Amino acid sequence: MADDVAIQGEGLETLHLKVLRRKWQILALQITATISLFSMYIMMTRTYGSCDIIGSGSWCPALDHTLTLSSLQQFLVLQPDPLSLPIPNWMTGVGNSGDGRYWMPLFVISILVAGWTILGLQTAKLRRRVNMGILGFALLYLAGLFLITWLIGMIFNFELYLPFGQIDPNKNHVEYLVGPLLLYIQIFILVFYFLPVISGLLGIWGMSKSKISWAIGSTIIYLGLHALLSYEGVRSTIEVNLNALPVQIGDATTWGGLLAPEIAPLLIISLLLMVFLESGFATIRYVEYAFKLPESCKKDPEYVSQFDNILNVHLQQTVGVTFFVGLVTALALKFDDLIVDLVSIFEGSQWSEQVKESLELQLTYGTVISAMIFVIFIAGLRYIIPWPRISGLIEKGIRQIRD
Amino acid sequence: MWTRKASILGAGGVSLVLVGMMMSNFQMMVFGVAFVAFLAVNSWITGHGDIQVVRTLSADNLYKGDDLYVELEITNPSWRRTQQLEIYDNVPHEMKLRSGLNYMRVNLGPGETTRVRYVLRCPLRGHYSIGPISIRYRDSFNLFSQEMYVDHRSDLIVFPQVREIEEAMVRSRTPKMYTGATTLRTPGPGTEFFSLREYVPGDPFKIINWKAFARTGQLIVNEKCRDAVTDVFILVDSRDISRIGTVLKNPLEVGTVAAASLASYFIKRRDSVALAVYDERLSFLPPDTGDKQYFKILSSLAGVAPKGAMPLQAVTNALSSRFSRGSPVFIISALEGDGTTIPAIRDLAGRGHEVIILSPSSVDFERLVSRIPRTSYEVLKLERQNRLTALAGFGARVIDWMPDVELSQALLQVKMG
Repeated sequence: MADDVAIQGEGLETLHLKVLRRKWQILALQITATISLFSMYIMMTRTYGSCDIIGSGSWCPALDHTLTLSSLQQFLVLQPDPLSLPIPNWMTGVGNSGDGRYWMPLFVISILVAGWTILGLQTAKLRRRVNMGILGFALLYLAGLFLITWLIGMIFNFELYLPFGQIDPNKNHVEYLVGPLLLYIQIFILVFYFLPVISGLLGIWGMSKSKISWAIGSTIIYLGLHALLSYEGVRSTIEVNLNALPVQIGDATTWGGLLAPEIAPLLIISLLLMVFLESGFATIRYVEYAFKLPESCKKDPEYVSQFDNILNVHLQQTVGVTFFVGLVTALALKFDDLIVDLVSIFEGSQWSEQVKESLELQLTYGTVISAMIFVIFIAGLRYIIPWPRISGLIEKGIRQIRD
Repeated sequence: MWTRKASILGAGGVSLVLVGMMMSNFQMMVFGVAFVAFLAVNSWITGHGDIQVVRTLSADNLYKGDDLYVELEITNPSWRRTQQLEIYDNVPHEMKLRSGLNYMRVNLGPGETTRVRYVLRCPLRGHYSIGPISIRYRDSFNLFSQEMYVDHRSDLIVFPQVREIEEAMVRSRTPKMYTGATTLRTPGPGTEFFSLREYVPGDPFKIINWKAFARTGQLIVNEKCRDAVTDVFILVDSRDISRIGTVLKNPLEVGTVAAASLASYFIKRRDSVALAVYDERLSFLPPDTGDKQYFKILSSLAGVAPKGAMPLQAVTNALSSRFSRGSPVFIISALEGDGTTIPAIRDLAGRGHEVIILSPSSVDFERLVSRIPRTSYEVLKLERQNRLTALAGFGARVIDWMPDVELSQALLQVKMG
């Protein structure tokens, strides 16, 4: 019996963190999450990034940082002592139109996150030094010039004075704070608008669940705020010029006649959010599991092959499930039309005529309720179609052919 | 079963649909429908736990402190993928993982097999059972999970350690009473012919006397002389009081090691060894020799647990008819909390038995776990010394066994009356 039990083997491939970071499946999950995050943000800005009155130059709480930065710039120019924002427009995207407003900030954010992630791989001592260095530089940049000029001024004038409200403009040293403060305000505005992307990227590449949650949370807050501020009941009280989503949807002309053009971006945003959420969390979940394994298991070929299995199946299912969720949702939203078409079979009866002309069925309520019925029907299909068996049979067949 | 994530997603989806309908906001409604559709599509690909598990152990019986190699072979015999399957082999908490892990996450395709290998250290003697295997399967997105057990168990016995005491027994005064092999004129396992008798069912074929069978037509077997020096009785104190000390170092633990080592030594010398363990009741293994008896003794010692408060005199009275005349009796006891110790040993010695008391010093074992003031310690030690001296006075050979002293060294310290 003792001879039957072998000790753990050691393969060429291992599950060490350094190896995992370069594993193609992990990278594929991270890249999938990143692409879906960027796409979702761009899609959101296309949908929620415009005001009601186009071209008037007025500010509205749309998901467009350039509106806020332009308004701030205008305010500064109108001051008696005109000022300008420190970060140049080519870097913030101000002055561009369409998606061009976002590419440059997204690129800069990506570079900074990449740097931050690389820093995370360094030793704790180096990380602490760099963090302290950045913090020190930020504080020095904010108050350094102000404090130095104020102290030198007091020494050379042989008097103690406050650095503001002085008749002599050379003694109003507080003005040295304006430049750095403007920079920080500009950075704050950019961080506020790009928070889903920043925290999402930090979460994906820095393997932080809380940061991914922040990304999701901030996205939902933006969408919720937009929904609230563009709600008819609120708009009648406070008009913020937000471009509201259409209340009525037109004919289904996109996705092969399945979706109305007004609905397509909304569905894509939902799907991308799910892909980002699942891929981001899955990366961390799997790496965490592998990281916690004892040294002997990390080298064990059985553990490595099962880990590969898990990742491969996850990647396959991400593609499959996303496709089917999109298809099912699109079909569900089209289900009201199918009901009307089905009812029209009974042409001539009073009931079918009533249903066909029923506005409720074609309006929001009808569409959504029929969609939910369709989704429930899809869920129940699992008891009719043995999908796991079919897929297993196909898999077994493929393996036999390959062998 | 829905996971927390699925519940939040489901509730969130329905809420978004309702709020979206209230606010006529299509984004919310689409979000809601998509969330519910995500659940619906994922419900198609839930996993299963119909797996075959075979556990192989490197040994069914092993000694305390040994390593046990375990291999778990997991096969998915069905036509479906298991999806994410967490396998956890339940291991007794007394055992420690030395290498590998008794847990694995797998995703087995149809007909696929994998193996979990790990090594356990068994620091405590006892009868153990590895298993059942806990299984949790879930889909890739962690929406639906199900837990179950595969009731596959492997039993094993961890024997107390057996120490080499031959040299100590040769050098000490204890074995001098056994002056060498003397054939006992009683039937039993041995080499020398004793008599012929009729065959009874259960007798091995090899002892049938075929010539006698040919002559008489009846099955006759050869009986041999019992080839043993003498019967050795080992009495182990397993009363509740013997748990004083740490889990690994207490009078009972060291006592079982001593009993196992003595049994091993005497059985190797082809003596017959009897074992009596007394706790809340008396368990007695009649004297016998050979590997089978050795296994029985070790197995019995493996299952010993501190409980009860049976007095020694009740034990000696109960066994008085079973003690062979003049046979040596080993008593392994801390000699605490029992007022009948002195009369019991006096009676044994009076009946001509050679009594050897191996007494783990319970005061010193207690010192391992709690701080005893010096004065109290001195008083307790003095009381113990007086007790041991009194026992030695009745003709018993007494060994005061300190926790840090090896068994072989302790056996050299026989205190005579």
